[in-house]
Amino acid sequence: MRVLVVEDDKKIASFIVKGLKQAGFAVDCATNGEDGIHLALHESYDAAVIDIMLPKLDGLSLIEELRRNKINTPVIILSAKRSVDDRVKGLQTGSDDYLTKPFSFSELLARVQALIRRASGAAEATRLTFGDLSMDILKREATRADKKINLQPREFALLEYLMRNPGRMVSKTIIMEHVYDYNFDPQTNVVDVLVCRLRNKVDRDFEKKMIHTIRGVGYVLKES
Amino acid sequence: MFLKNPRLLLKSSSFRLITWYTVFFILSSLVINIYAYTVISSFIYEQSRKEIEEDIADLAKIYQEDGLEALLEDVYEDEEDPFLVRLIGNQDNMLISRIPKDWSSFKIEQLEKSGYPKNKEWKYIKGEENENEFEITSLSMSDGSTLQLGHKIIEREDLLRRIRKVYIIAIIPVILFAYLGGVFVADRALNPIRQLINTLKSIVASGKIDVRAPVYQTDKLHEELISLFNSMLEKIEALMNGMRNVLDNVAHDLRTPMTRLRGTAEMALQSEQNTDVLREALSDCIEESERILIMLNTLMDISEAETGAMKLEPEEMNVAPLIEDIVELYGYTAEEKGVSVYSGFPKELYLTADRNWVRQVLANLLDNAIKYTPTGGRIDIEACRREQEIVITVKDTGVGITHEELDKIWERLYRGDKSRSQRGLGLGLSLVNAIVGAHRGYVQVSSEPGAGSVFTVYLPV
Repeated sequence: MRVLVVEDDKKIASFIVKGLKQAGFAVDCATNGEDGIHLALHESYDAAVIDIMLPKLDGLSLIEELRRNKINTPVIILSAKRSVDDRVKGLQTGSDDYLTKPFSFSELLARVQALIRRASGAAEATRLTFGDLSMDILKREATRADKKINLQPREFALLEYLMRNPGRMVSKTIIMEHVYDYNFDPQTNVVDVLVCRLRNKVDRDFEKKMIHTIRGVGYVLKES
Repeated sequence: MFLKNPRLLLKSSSFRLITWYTVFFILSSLVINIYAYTVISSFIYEQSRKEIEEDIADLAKIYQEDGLEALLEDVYEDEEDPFLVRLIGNQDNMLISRIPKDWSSFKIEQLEKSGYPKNKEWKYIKGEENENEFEITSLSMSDGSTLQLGHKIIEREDLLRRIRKVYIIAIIPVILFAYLGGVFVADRALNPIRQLINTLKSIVASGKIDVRAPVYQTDKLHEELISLFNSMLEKIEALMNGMRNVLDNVAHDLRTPMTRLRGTAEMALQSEQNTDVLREALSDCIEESERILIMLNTLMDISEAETGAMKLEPEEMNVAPLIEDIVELYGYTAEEKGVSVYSGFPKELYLTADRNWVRQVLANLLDNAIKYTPTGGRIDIEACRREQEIVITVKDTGVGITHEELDKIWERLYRGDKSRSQRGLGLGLSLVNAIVGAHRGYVQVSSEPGAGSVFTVYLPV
């Protein structure tokens, strides 16, 4: 898997590159828009992370240029601006996701992985298993060690999302987006409460914990 | 400055105004004068010709009724008669030719050379000084002969010449008046603009925006321009002050959590190099930076909403499903705390507002209510339309707010919970107040300590 990073701040670029490499990606990095478009047009990438404010050629124009050349590499925009306007503009231009600075690297990684997965177009399984956890999406049943877990709709949706992304960090914002379909952050502990409830139902009676908290970042489903 | 550069002079609106005014003034007075002159001269012409025309008609009558002898007698009767009388027979033979004695400058060849006037028409004959001195008309008789009658017009021409002279002399004061009028008008028209420019210059030079241009009530257009300009200045001033306050407040409010962040990192550095301790400290740092970010964003939102810089995207929307969503969103949170949430409102409550911000208002109010309501309590959310307003009430059976606290709850970073046992930044209600204010609505609160509080949001439809 190969990712292009276009970011003019050297420090931010280096931590993104380092992190992506650690996660097993091959990474190319450009520090201005012109170099970025050159790389994007001549090499093939599975995903691109592009800053909006770039010297020489801004991120939005870069994406427009890419799409004009029929290159449909999924793109995540990075921006220091928070307004809904920019987000909408970015998505209209043809980017696939949007992340505002400052962001946590885990969140960026999760989004890059999600984009690549979505672009690969694999059909979503209707039966999910992870460790001794298993879910039947159609029958809306979940079991752990063959013992049925009674889940309410939001709890079920959260577990489904975690099961589809095992071992990956899932941030509160992502849960807000995928479980509640909210694109705004109500800045509440709603997600904590939801995770806490799910954890009570999934982990309480078992020695081995499956849902883990990464402080300040999010949650991850893994066998400890 | 203007004189050094003629192009600048031409571009100066004051110069152009004066020029236009002068030109128009002169042109219009010329038009009036020419018209007056035409009327006067045609009147004089008519008067002087009328006499001759009557005479020629009389003579023609005598000739046709009584014959040539009678006409001859009539013509030569008075020697002092100042008229030229000629009768030309049908064979071009001269029958009568009487020229008055004092017509010394009259030359008959002049008349013959230039040809006789046609029937009932007039012809000028030049005198010695090559000026039109005489005027002759003719009348055809029924027997083919032509009667001619002429008179001296030097006096009439003299009068007209004098009138013309008066007009030409009058042009000089007219030009002067025109110019002075132009200067006056230009000054009156441009003075308010000059004042405006001076005000602007002083703002640019000093950077002080609290100056206002004086409003002149002489001209509706200027008055409007200047009041618009002044109200624009007021807006800019409010915005600038707002921005300054935002910066001050944000800087102030962020110092505390930044200090905490720094403190945590320093403590970790000074401690023994135990990986677990360091990891713990790093996690604390991330959490703290997350909190700073949320705080920064919320503070920016509040300040933007308060200063009117918030970018709202109002749309016609139904607030009822929005309330349902929020109640659902907080369902588990309320359940965990053992608080029951009841809601009652009509299915359709339309208003024009920014969907995301209204959602934020509802979320914050419900969040707040759950936070301050102990286990076993209840929260009621009601909404209805009252005249031109949507009224949303959130009523809880929580700890309530003391009388002294009632005003403080809207302040940024104020937290009723002194023990800090509840999570939160103390920004939720400030944001509610600011957002509702930005939508031209208002929030009211009533509370009884120990019994609960009621928050009421009024949003205009």
